[in-house]
Amino acid sequence: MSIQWADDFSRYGTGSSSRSAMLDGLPYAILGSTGNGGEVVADPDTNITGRAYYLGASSNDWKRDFRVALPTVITTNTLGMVLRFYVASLPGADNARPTPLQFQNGSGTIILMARIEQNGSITVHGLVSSVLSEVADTVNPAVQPASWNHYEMIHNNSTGAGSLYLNGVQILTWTGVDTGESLELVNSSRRNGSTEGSAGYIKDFVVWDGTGSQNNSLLGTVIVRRLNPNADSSLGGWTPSTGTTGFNLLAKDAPDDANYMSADGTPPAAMLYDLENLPADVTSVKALLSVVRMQKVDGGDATVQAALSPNGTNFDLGADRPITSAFSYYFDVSELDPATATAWSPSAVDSAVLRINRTT
Amino acid sequence: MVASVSVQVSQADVDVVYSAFSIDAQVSQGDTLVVFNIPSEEVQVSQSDINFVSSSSSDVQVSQADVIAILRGRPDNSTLRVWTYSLDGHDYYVLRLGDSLTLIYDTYSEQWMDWQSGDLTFWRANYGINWVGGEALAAVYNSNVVVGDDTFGLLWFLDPQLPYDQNPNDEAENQEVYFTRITMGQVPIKGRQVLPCYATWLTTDMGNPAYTGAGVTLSTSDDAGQTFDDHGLVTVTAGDHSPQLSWYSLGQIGAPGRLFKIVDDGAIARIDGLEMNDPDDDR
Repeated sequence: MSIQWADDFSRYGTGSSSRSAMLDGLPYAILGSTGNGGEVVADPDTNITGRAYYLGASSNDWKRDFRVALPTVITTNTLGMVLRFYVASLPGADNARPTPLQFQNGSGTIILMARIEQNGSITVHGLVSSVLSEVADTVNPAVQPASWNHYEMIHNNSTGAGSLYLNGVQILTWTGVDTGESLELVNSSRRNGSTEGSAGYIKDFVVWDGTGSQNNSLLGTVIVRRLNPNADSSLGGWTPSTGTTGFNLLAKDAPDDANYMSADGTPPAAMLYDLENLPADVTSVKALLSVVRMQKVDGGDATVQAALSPNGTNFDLGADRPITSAFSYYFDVSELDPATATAWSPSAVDSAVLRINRTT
Repeated sequence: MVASVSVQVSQADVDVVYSAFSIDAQVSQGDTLVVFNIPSEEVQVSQSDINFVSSSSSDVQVSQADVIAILRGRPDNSTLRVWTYSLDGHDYYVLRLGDSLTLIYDTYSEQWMDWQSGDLTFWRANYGINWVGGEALAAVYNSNVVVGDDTFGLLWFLDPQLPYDQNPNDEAENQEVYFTRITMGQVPIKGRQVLPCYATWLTTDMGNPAYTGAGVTLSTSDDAGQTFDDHGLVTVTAGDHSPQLSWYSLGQIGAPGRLFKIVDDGAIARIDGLEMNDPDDDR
């Protein structure tokens, strides 16, 4: 597996409740504090329809504003962090400089980070002989405020070398960062100290690593989009909590646990859903992630398995997951079309179905 | 001779192991221990239940499900561009109408064409030129036409000898991306005339398909292109240079006439003509 996690922040609603939803079973470990950020909001670019995560900054620890615990810890392999970052204005103080990309060890010590300087240039700091030191610098301004820029930071934790891409173009490389530290957390912040700094937002967030055979190197200027169920292919033996259709109970822009699909203690036939089509201007698909929010109602056993298929016959099975008795999100990554064993094509995604199967 | 001088024994005895018993036994106390139950007169039960091991939960509830897609896309490009290039003796006039359409006019054959890329409605080439100074590379790619691709951000050479597009991802396993060529012709019929169409023959260059299984499909429309009847795919075999592909028993043609559509996905590189046999008037 190479894609570890990706998010477009569109399923959590907005406001402070969105932050709580993000912490329901997903890889988010700590999400700053609410008040002035720390929540999903409308895209700050008024020309764009969509959502973004507004980075919080009211706590004193700028290393925990958007902390993600990696599903796969990287010790001797490559880690890539990809996002679009928007900062309302360039920093006016040293401790307000945005650090949109941070790699940390399990204790939260920064091993590597990219920082936007007061003139719009970008520096990269890495742990060298156990001291956080500058390892690369564009010197000249590289980004303008109040616009989205795409960042991808790639670091080989075995060699201590890496590179930073801005809007798909390599702008910095470095070597000599300490090896031997395990990369367990990534973080994004609008600051590098206790000062709040200018409003900072992220979207199109992806974390990948070099452990698999797919998506194990430069990902490029990717877009992350959510595809909702838009029709029932089959409800199997599942029962809608209201009405007679299922897709409308699952396709939500915010959690609503009062409306759901239910399977009783005798595991019924799986339910299958058609999905929305991709936008017409999509040229390739890097990966799909199924995300399902569910619970069991008592202390007994229950496992559920999600799967994706391009044709209703060949399925890429997710893990058979034990479910807890509180609504939580569960996700699985699919990088290859199970019918062709090659990357998903846009047309295959357009015909794809999502299957949710209670196994015990 | 050997002789013992003397043997002297100063002590001799025998050790004996034996049991001894007391001559007199005296018993001063004797009794018997008895183990027995004394039943309680009454048992009182104030609470009763059963512990069980559950194998499954009674209900699983799914309240939200979706799929996240990580995508590469192309930027919107509404720019109208006009450019020209010359290739194989043909002068081409290209109209790139934003993301809607790419129209090509061949001044040699005096034909307008609609060029597309993959699932797109337009050709990905956004602009191009005959690169006069690029002769060294032109010798490799069989032309000096360089075009810019605004979908994948690449520069391409147009190679007239390559029967397929190369994959924009140079790391992809399948580097050969086949594309469809469509050519149409018409036999007009007026009034109440009818014309039998016993057979058609397509004359082409043969024997060099882009891939095994490539073929040509003929379909016809008798309602001015509103609907088409598929007359089947004829597969082209590598090394078989028989110059004709044929379709038989295509029925009668009435007004307004018949449109012939030839669809080729890499089977042939050139069409010399489509002939329709009519024994009555030798058409």
